[in-house]
Amino acid sequence: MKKYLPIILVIAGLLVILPTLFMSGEPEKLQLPTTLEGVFIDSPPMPIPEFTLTDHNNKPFTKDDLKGKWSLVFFGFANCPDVCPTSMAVMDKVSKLEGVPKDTQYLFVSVDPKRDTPEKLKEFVSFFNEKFIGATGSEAELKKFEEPLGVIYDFEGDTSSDDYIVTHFAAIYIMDPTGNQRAYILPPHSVAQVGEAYKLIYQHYK
Amino acid sequence: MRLSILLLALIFNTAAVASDLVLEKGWIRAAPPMAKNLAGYGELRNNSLETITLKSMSSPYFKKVEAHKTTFVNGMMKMAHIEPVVLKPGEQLIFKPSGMHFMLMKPNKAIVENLKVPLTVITHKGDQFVFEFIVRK
Repeated sequence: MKKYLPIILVIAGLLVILPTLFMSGEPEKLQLPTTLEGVFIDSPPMPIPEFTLTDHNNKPFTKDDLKGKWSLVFFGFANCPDVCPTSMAVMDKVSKLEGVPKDTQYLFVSVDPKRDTPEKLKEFVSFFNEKFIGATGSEAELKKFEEPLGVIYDFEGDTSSDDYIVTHFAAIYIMDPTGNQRAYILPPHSVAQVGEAYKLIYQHYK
Repeated sequence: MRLSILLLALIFNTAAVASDLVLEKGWIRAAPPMAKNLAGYGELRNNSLETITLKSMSSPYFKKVEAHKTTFVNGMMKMAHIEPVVLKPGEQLIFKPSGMHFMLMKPNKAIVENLKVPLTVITHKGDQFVFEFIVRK
């Protein structure tokens, strides 16, 4: 009997684990083609806590607004000259690709609430796409959203002036309809890379 | 005769200087009107047989122009000021999104799509070159 104990334990273990896996509905982790670089999938999704930001129309933007649809999220600052406009332009082009769900939500979160007022955010996001949402909030509320995603940033230059830059983590996050993080894509971003990754992830996990 | 040779030499010399440094495919990414900094891109090539070191860059539409380079370290964006920009003989520097770029600071006019933006570059030897960017999305 002792001889079979490890096998019995393994089978017993599987009997406990397998139903939980099926019940949670978590599919097998998607294997992306090796040609797609810098794309990381969270299996199961990374939970995001409740948070309250303010959007570009001065309305609250909470975790509930991430639910029920897929979202692409980018963190940055509106005065960013190179990286943020590049990733925003990429997201705009991705939104127009065939096979990309039309009800996808595109969100720009500013980590620079001091300068990026809702009015400024509105000007910034609508320049790239009228449907894009801009949001920011207090440091504490931003932190709730950013921390599980691993968004880090640092202010460089004189922040008491109007002339400083923000060094920041510049990934595009893919959030699933539960409002949690399903994947992230490292920069530099291209339309082909983000578009293909998002389509494959959406098809697999929808 | 001597004069014409001299003239010819002058013409050729000027022509050579004029094409020693070229900027091709110059463009600026159109930005929202509130943007304080814009980024310019293009291919800068040293066609001469000597190393070219840039002393200054300027544009009448901006307060300041600098060469910057974006790098990503594990997804973290960092920006460095490239000073000075040096091009070895025959070397081409590619300024592209999320890489090396011309940082165009504090515009003094609306930088709208299709606007042509001049860029003046002065080298350490004192040669002056004027390039052009086109603004597009």
